[in-house]
Amino acid sequence: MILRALRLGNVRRFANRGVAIEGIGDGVNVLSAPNEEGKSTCFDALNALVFVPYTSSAAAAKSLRPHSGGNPLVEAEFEFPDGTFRVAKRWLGAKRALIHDAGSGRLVAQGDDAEAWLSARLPGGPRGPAGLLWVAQGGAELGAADRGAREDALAAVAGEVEALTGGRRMVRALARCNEELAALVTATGRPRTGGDYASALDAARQHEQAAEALTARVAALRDTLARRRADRARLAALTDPEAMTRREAERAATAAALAAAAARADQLEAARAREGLAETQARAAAETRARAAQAARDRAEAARLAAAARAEAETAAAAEAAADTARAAATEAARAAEAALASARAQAARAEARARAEAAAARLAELETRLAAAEAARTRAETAQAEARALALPDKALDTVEDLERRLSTLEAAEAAQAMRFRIDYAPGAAGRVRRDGAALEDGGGGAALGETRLEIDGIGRLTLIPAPGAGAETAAALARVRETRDAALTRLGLPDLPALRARAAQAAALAQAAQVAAAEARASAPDGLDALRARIAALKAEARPPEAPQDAPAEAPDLPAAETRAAETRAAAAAASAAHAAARETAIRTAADASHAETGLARLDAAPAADPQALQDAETRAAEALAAARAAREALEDGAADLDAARAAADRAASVVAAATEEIATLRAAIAGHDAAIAARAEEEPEAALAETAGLAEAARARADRLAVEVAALTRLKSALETARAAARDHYFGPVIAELRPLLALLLEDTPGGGAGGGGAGGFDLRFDEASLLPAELERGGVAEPAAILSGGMREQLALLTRLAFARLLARGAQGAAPVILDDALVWSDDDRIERMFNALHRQARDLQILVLTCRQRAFERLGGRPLRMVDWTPPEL
Amino acid sequence: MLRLLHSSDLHLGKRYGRMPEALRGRLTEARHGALERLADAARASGAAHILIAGDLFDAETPAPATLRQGFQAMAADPALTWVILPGNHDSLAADELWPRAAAEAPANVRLALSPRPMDLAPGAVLLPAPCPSRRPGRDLTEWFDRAETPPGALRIGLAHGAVQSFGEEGAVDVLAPDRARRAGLDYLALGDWHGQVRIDARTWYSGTPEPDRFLHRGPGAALAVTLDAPGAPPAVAPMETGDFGWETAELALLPGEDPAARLAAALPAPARRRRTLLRILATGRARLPERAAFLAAADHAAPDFAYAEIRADALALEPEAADLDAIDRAGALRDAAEALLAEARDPARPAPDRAAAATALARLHAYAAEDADEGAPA
Repeated sequence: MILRALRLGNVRRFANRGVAIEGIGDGVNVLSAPNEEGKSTCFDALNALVFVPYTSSAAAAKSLRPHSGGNPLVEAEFEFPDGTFRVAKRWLGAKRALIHDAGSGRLVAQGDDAEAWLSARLPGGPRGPAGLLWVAQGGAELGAADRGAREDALAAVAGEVEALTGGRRMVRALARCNEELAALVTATGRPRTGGDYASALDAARQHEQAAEALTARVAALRDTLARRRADRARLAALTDPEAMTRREAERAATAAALAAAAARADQLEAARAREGLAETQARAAAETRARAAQAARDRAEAARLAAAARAEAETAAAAEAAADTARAAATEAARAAEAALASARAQAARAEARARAEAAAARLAELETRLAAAEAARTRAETAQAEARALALPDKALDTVEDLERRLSTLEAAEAAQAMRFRIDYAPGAAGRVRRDGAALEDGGGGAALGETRLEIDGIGRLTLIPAPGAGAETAAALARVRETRDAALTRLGLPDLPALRARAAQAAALAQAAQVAAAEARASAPDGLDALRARIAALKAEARPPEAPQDAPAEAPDLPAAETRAAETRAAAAAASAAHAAARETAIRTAADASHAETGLARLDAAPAADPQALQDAETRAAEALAAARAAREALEDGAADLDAARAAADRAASVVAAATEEIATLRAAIAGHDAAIAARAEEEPEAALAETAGLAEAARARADRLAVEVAALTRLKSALETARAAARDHYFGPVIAELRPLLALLLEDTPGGGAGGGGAGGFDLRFDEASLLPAELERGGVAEPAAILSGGMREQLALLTRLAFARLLARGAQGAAPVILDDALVWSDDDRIERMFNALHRQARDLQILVLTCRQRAFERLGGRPLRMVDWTPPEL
Repeated sequence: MLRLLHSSDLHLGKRYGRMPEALRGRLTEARHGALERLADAARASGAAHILIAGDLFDAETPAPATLRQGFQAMAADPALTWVILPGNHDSLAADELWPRAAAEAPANVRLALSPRPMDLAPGAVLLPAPCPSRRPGRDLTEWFDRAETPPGALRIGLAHGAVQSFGEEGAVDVLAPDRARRAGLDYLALGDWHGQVRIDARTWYSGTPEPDRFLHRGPGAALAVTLDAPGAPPAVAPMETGDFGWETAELALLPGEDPAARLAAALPAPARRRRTLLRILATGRARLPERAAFLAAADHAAPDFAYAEIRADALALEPEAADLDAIDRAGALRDAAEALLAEARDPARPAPDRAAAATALARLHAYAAEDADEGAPA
C-alpha cells in the first residue's frame, strides 16, 4: 500500500478551504515546512482516514473539526497491486465514505462497504500490523511509544509479538505459577519456611517422631507385660506348694546328714591325733638309737684325726725351723751385699769429686788469665779515655776554624787578585840585587804588592809601591776581621794554627778509639764484668781443691753396677726366705691348733657316757607297735565315713535353694507390683491408641506433603514449560528483528567504540529488547552493556527510530505487505553527523518501504534527499 | 426359639488420626455410641443376647476409662446379656485387659475367654473360639467339630478371623468357611471383616456397627439372628447401627459428560451429608474444562460433609484442540500447553513425570479460564 496523494478539506486550521499533498513517491518523501503550517494536521487526517470509521463521532473524528465548525473531509489516493484508489471520508455531518478507482473514476464502494473495502485492503484490519506505521513527533524515544490516536509502528507489531510470546497472559500465567510455587518452595526448590509444603513436611516429621516415641512406649509397655507374665509364671512355679514342700524336705535331710557326718569327723580327727603322736614317738626312738651309733663312729674318727693332726704339727714345726735358718742366711748375705754396694758408691763419689776439682783448676787458670787481660785492657781504656778527654775540643771547634780558614783563603785570593803584581827581570849581572823584605828576588820572580810594598834595590835604592787610595781596602778589612776571628779562636783553643788544631783533633780521636778498643777487649775477657769474673774465680778456687781420700781407699775404681746387681739379688733372696719362713710358721701354728682341737674333741667324747644299744633297740620296737595300733584304729574309722564336705555342700545347697526361692519370691512379688504399677500408668496413657492415632496423623501429614510435592512438581514443570516456550518465541521473533536492525546499527555506530562491526559479543554490539515496549532495553558495545536509561537522548531517539524501521521492513516483507512509515519530526535530538547517518539508514530501509518524513527543520533535513513534497491549495469536491 | 444380635469389631479406644482434628471427637463419640445403638437394635429385634465376635477393644491395653465406660454402656440394660470374645486386636495375650475385664465386668457381661462350650440360654450352647494371640496361626474353630453339647441344644459358634487368606496360599490361620456345616452349628457368628458379609446361610460376618474407614461399602450394622430350632435355617436381618456414613463416590467420567451433574447424582441426600464422610474418586477420561468442572463441583460440595476427600489422580486428561485453544490459539502459551500434553501422553516417561505434566496442563488451563472469567484482555 503506497500513499500517492493526501487532500484535506475543512480540517482544523484549514477551515473552509482545502490543502493537498500530491505526487508522493516511492522511497523517501520529505515534507519540510515551518511549524504551524499544518504538517501534523495532514497526517492526523490521514490517520483518521485509515483508522476512524466515517460514522464515528469519537474524539478522533471531532479533533479534525475546525473551530469554525463544519464537517472535516479527508481524501487520499492509495496504490495497491491492482490499481490506485481514491479513499474519501467525511465525518460528523454529511457522513460519507467513498472508494473510487482513481484511474477510471469508477465508484468502487461507499458507506459501510467502503469501510469494509478499506479494512480488507489493510491485512489484519485497520488496527493490525499493516496499518500506518507512525513515528510521532517526539515519540521516537525509548519507552515512550505513542499509543494514542495514531498507530505507532511498535503498537502495530505489539499484538503480533504478544500473540507469539503469550504476552500478558503469559506474564500472568507465569506470575501465577511463580506465586503458587513460591508459596511452597524457595528459588532453589527447598520447602519454604512457613509455607504449606514445609509445614506439611514438618508436621509429618513431628508426627513420625512422635509415632517413633510412642512405638517405643508401646514396646516398653509390651515388654513390661511380657516381663510381668514371665515373673508371674516364675512366681507361680516357686510358690507351688508341692515344690515348696520338696525344697524344705531336701533342706532338712541334708542338714541331718551333715550333723552325722560332723560327729564321725570328730572321732576320726581324734584317731588321727593319736596316730600322729605314735608316729612321733616311734620316730624319736629310732632317731635316739641312730644318734648313739653315730656317736661311736664319731669318736673313732676323732681319735684318728687327732693323731694325724699331731703328726702334721710336728712336721710343720720342723719345716718352720729350717725356713728360719734359711731366712737368717739370706738376710746376712743381703746385708753384706748392701755394705759392698755402699763402699762402691763412696769410692765412686770420691773419684767424681777429684775429677771435678781438676776441671775446676783448669777453668780457674783460664779465668785468671782472662781476668788479667781484662783488667789490663780496662786500664788502657781508662788511660786512653782520660787522655782523650784532655785533648778533647769543644764541639764544632774544628769545623768553625776550618770555615774561617776557607773564608780567609777566599779573601786572600780576592786581595791577591786586586793587588798590583810585579816581576823582576834582572839585567845580566844584576841578579839578586832586588830584595823584598830583605830577601832577594829571583830573576823573573816577582810578586804581588799589597799595600805599600817596599823593594830594596841594591844599588838603586828603595822602590815603594803604593796602591791607589782605597783600592782593596774593603777586602783588606774583611780579611783582617776574619783573620782576627780565626786567631781569636785558635787562641781560645790554645793552638797556634789550623794544622795544630787538626793534629790535636786527630790525636783526640785516636785516643778515643784506643779507649774503645781496650774496653772491647775487657768485655771480651769478662763478658759479665770483672766482678763476676772475680767471683767465679773465687768459687773455682774452692772447687779446685781436691778431696781428701781415706787411707785404705783402693786405688782402682770400683764396679758399681755389679755391686748394685749383687745387692738386689741378695735382697730378693732375703725377702723370699723371709716369706717362706712366715708360711712355714703359719702352717706350724695352724697344725698345732688343729692337733690341740682334735685332742680336745676326743677328750670331750671320751668324757660322754655311752648308751646301751639293746635298750635303744627295745624302745624303738615298742614305739613302732604303738604306731601300728593307732593307724589301724584311724583306718577303721575312715572306712565307711561320710564326706563331711559333700554333706556340708549338700546341706548348704538345699538351704540356699530354700533361701533363694524365698528371696526370689519376694523379689518377684515386688517386681510384679512394680510391673502392675507401670502397666497401669502406661495403660492410662493408652499408648497403643495414641500410637495408632499418631500414625494416622503422620500418614495424613505425609500424604498431604506428598500431594504438595506433586503440586510442586507440577508447578515446577509448568513454570519450566512456560519459560521454555516463551524463550523460544522470543528467539523466534526478536532474532529476525535483530538481524534487520544490525546493518542499521552498523551505520549508526560505525565510529563508536565497539560499533560498526555488527554482531553480538565482545568487539561488536548487541541489543536486548524489552518485551513490553518492544524497544531496546540494553545496548551492548565492546562487551559493555549499557541500559537504555543511561544512553544519551540522541542515541535513545536513534535506536528507537531504527528499531521501528526494522520492524516496518520486516512487516513489509511479510504477508501483510508494506505500509507507509510516517516520521513526524522524529529526529529531534540528533546532531548533524548522526542525522546524516540516520538519513542513510532511512534510504536503506526505503528500498522496500514508503517513508514520509515531516519536519520543520528545513536546514537540517536539506541533506536527507528523497522526493520533496509541498502542500498546495486544493478545492474539495462536492461529495 | 432364640433371638440374638451379632456384632463385632467395635475397636473401642481407637482414634481417628487421619481425620481433621475437629472431626475426631465426633467420630470417637460415635464409636462409643455404637454400644447403645446395639442395645437398641437388640431390643428392637427382641434379642436378649448380644454376641461380640472379637475386637471389642482396639488395643490390648485400653485405657481404664475405655473399659469402664464400655461396661457402663453394656450395664445400662440388665435385660441384655453381652458375650464378648477376644479378637486379634484384644487377644488373650492381653493379660492386662482380660483380668481387669473379668474383675470389672457387670453381671450382664460374659467373657468368652476359653474355647469351651458356654451355656448361652436354656437349650442353647455357645462355642467360642477366643484368639489366644494376635496371629494364632491355626483355625481356632476346629474344636467346634468335636464339641459336645446337650442333645437338642442350639449350637452357636463365635469366632474371629478370616475365612479367606489374602496372603500366600495354604495359609493355616484361616477359618474353615464351612465350619458351620462341619460342626453342625446352627449359626456361626464371625468377626474381623468390617463389612457385613454372608458366607453361607449359617455363617455371617456382622461387620462393624460404626465404620472407621472407606474400605467397606454400606452403613454400620449388626445382624439380628433368629434361631427357631436346632437345624432350622437361621433368620438373619441386618440392623443399621452406624452413626456416621463412610461413602465413596466413584465417578468414571467420559469426555463430553457433565461432571457436576454426575457428581450431584452420586452424592447422598443433603440431610445425611453432615454425618457422612465422603471420598470422591474421579476416574476415566475428561477434557480440561471437565476436569476443572469436576474439581470445582467437588470443592463446592465438600463443605456439606463431615469430611470430604477428593481425588482426581486417576482421571486421565483427554484434551481436545478447543481445550488448548482456551489456553491460547497459538504462541508460547499454546506451545507450552502442547509440550505438557505430549509429555503427559508419552508412555516412555515415568508415571510421576506424566502426572506432573498433566497436572501442569490442567493448571495452565485453569489460569486461562480464570483469566477469561475475570475478563482479562487476551
